Amino acid sequence: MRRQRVAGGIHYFWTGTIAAALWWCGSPSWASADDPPAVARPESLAAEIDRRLEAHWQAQGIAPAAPADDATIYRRLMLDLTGRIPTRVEWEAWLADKTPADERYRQALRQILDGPEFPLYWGAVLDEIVQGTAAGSPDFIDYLRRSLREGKRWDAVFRELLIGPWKTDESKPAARFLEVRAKDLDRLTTDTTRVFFGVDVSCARCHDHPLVDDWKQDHYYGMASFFNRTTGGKGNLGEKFEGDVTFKGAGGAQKTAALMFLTGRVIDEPPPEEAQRSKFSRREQLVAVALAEQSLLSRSLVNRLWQQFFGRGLVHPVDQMHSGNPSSVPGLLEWLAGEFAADYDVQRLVAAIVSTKAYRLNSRWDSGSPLPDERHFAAMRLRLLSPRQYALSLLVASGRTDFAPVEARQARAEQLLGAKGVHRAAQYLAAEELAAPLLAQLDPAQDGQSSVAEALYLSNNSAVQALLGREPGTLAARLAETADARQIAESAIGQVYCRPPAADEVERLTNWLKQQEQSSQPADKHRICEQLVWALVTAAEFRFQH
Amino acid sequence: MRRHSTCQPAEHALHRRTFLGGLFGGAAATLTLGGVSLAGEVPAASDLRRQQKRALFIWLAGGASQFEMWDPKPGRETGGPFRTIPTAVSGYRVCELMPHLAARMNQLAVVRSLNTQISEHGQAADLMSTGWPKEPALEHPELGVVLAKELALEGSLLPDYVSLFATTEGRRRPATGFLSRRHSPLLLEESLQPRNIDLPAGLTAEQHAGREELRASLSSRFAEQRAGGELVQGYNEAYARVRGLMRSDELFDLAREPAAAKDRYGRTPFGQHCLLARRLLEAGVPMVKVARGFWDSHHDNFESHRELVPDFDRVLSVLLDDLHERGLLDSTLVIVLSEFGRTPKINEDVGRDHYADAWSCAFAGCGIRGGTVYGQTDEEGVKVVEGEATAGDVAATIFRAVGIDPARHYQVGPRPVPLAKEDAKPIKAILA
Repeated sequence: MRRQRVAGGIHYFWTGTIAAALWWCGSPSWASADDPPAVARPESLAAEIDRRLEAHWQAQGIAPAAPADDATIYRRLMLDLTGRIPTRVEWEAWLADKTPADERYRQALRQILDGPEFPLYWGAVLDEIVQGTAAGSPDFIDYLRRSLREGKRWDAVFRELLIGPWKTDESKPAARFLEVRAKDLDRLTTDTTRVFFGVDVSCARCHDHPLVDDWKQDHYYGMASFFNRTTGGKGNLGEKFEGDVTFKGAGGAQKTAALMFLTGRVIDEPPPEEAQRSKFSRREQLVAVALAEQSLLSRSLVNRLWQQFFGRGLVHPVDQMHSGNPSSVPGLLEWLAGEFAADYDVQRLVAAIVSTKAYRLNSRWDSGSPLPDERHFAAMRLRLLSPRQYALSLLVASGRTDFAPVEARQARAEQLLGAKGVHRAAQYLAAEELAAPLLAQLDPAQDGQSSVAEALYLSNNSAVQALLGREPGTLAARLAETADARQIAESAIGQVYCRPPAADEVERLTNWLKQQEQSSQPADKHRICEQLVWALVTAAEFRFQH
Repeated sequence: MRRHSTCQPAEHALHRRTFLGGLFGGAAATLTLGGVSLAGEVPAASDLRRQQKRALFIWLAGGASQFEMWDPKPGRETGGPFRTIPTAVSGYRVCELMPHLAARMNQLAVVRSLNTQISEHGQAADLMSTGWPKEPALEHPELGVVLAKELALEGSLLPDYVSLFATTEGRRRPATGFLSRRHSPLLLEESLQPRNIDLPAGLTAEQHAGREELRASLSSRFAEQRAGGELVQGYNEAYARVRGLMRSDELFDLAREPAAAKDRYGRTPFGQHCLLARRLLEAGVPMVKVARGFWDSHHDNFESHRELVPDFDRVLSVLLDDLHERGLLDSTLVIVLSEFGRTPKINEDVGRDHYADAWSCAFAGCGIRGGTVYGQTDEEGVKVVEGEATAGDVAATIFRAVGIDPARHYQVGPRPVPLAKEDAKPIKAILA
């Protein structure tokens, strides 16, 4: 029985890997009789998501926002998939491309997902999802980056985090999830269930959950039992073959916890001698049962990625998935999670979500009717950029990093060595180094709230003023060399907001520039241009995803 | 016995206005700034301000010894070498190291019966500074963060919470927990001046204001008819407070205090920090925290307390006098708290170790019944024998003292979380 369960997990992993390697190239050659069943392509998943949302809106009597314009869409996509705004060269090429709209979007998406920046950025995004307050270890982020680059599946990542093997230099960092939590059974139990299963059972530690009927003490201590034999810490994680979790149940009676998953499934255990001989691992059992009862593992990640792109989970908050807190769009999460579990391919899931029409809706709500609640996803709600997104984008806008296309010789070298994207990856890592000192000073995106500390930092900190400053090549320096105030305004808007300027705002900025010039004698054009750049990058259009 | 039945000091409003006028009037005249002006705002807000309550949180980091302060056991095996002295409260004696506070005991309330169980620094500090045991999935906000949020005045251009610390040991930043980071305190860490409040080099105040005006107008225009536009409003409010904070640099400048005041507080870091705390409270900052370290006396407990306690005694006494003199004591709750106390047993290094089973804390000011001594430990100071109080009770007492219902709750996702733990009870005997 036990072996079968373990084998079941492995089976899933391999089917996933093969299917996933193939969905993207769409080659028909793999579709022979012995092959695993095909998984749905992102476009058809996207169409089904839209169909379900439209049905939901209809049932609710909601008319959604209009689609966002092309420039907004491209900025949104780049920020969400690479963590930065597009350069002027990039967005102008996008707007100039005459390919039919849907095809053009598909091509751009594919180019971004296949490019080096997606795994680099998403490695950091997944790090924050998985590690929470323990995020930020470069080795762990690089492990996730390599995993994404190699197309490793979520089930495989889950397995590697919980049971290894952690034998090679590449795989060792995967142990970090357990290492930083191994000495604290409560934290290990709570974090694992929240991150991977979208469930917070910590309230059931002291008593059956007071608000959620689903969660009993047996669930909490059942989950803790998968980890109570885990020993060691950094570099020496291990597992014992005996030891149980006991707890004081209702009425004060001492109980021994069963090895029980959240779904109530109890794992039979061999007696200690037998366990020792067969190297029975409770953590292996957890991985096996979680993969066999796939819905929690898949729903949790789908819900978290949905939040990443829409600012809110289908089930909200994302660690409160239980029967009393259903998805705000009935059936959508359950169905999409089922599709995801066919191969656990994160990239396919990302492609599906951003291919929807819903993802491309406007954040502007100019219909006369009141704005529907955010849980209906009928408009793209503003989201504060994460510190990483904001810092990287500041570097692009101010001209500190240009992500210039690769030169011919370099491109040839990359081609010869089969290492396409190396140059761009190096640019990205360099930008990341420049951005690092800013991260702790910027407000996290989670609660959408802004602190006066960030405002003070951006307003007065000398490093920030220097960053936006006048050194050759920066935006401020280039603007200062432009004679005409109108041209300065247009150029600045293009570089910072990634879109063509509107007539009235050019007017507004031109007047501001003239006013500044008149009021300060002698007029220091460099300084005025620095101040213009400062105002644009601290204004809401830049600070928010929209 | 002096009693405070009200927290509405009438004499305070006038004083405060004068202070602000002196502080900001000149600066405002030379700056032409759009939007809210601080000088113009004061009269309109004065009704609200008159009722303003404040709190000062003095954190004795590392764990101060109750035996050498509030709960001496002279002549017992656990008592140590110091004698006791009488206080203004008849029948209550404290350690001889606190002569000044002994004379002011009618302003203080002492709780000698804390039993908080956790005796590891990090966990105990979490427990005492939040009033809640640590939960893996829910990080509780520090008491000062909650007080700042609840006592903050709408439209104030001053920070709601300023946190200072004197030594590395006190270096725990108040956690905002499940509350938004916008309630983070202004931290004074490397210096007593807040960071980033000076004009950037090469920029005049007019230019600084000019670019902010452009930033604000672009932002407001962008936010029109946006899904989530209210987030931009909060964002703009954060920037709107920048100017107020930049104009408050004088507030943080101790050079503006007369030399005599600096001498009274003492030229020690703790003394100077408490002087700054008084300046901030006086100006209307609702929440100030001063952390004082080096109390963790596993070695030479008596030598270290011989140094630390008299400094604490003198500084807190001067501070109480100043607050009282300014009519601020009735509206300012002073809290003296550690993560735990110290063991009755004197170890072989003549030290005392961590002890959470029976220890003390103290309060003064707003909502506190001065001159009360609550609870009792046994003859050796090993066990609480009367009036046992928990970390939650301390938190509930603090909230009640400043007029906040401890049972009020924040909604955190699906879970209503009360300000103080469900089973916590305010210690009524020490409340006015």
